[in-house]
Amino acid sequence: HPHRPTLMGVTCAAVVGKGNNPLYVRTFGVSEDEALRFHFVVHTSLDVVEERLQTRKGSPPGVGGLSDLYLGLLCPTDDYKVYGYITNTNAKLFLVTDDIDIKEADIKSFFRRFHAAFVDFVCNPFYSMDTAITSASFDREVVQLARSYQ
Amino acid sequence: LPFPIRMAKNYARQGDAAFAKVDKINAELLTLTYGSMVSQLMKDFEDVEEVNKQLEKMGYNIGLRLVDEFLAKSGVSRCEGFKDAVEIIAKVGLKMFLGVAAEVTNWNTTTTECSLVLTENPLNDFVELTEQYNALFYSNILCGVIRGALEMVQMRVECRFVKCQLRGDDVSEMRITLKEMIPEAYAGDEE
Repeated sequence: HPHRPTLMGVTCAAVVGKGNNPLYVRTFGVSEDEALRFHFVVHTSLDVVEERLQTRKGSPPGVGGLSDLYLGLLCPTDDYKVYGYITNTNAKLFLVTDDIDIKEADIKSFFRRFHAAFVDFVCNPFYSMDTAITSASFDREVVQLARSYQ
Repeated sequence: LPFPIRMAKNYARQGDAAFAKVDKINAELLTLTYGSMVSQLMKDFEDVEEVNKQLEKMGYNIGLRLVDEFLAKSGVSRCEGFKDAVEIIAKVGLKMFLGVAAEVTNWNTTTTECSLVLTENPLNDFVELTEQYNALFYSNILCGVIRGALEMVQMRVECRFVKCQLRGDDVSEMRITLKEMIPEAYAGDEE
């Protein structure tokens, strides 16, 4: 597969609800057909997230601070790496990257800011919790965030 | 007569002083509570025009009651007419209760109509209006508060939003029109 350069290696950013329902899947630099593939990638990563959470069963996420929310590398495939993060209310955030040189510090900082954008967005009184996120301004925030990791 | 600059400066200072004195609450609590109320009104009434009306009515009831508190805590003496009253609302009232002051602009030639311009509005934080809410005046409660408050000092006004930052405008702007001075009823007024 030809390597197609993407925005700073961030190929996909996604938000999945606590019921494992996808709320927001944003791809960068891929065609619409390929974008569907990332829905699948995120979906299969959910199983890995479940496993990781099983091992720390009993304590709610966030008790140990940021290190507790960050789930790390979930799925290294040939082309992409999938990283996961869980919010304090069990929503899951995903980052898919094709950048083999990406630093863990950058990933963690991405998730921290992605989490902050999500938290601000959720305060919109007209957003129904756990429904698809269609906000143009949240999308702009995420694009800007992804861009800043060039 | 041109409005004395000296008086305008005093009001801004009085506004800051009053704001410093009052009890504070967490801004997000106010924003989220108000947002929750507006979204609940939308669910209950389902019609944007009706929600605008309800917000204005709620504001009106607040305004009637707020004036006594305002006059007692702010230290401003009774206003000298419509122009003075609007300056006080903009510089002292809004500052004291909302934390932000407004600019008074665009007076008409007879000084019976003007604009209150807000460059920021804490009620708007985090809010995003989608197309279905295009006709909603999210902060319409403020128009009601102003109408109710002025009624208690014998002025009947109309107040409505003409610009709103949630709708993409650069500022939020209320247009206030003085309809009539309400004559005070005299205590011993009987035949």
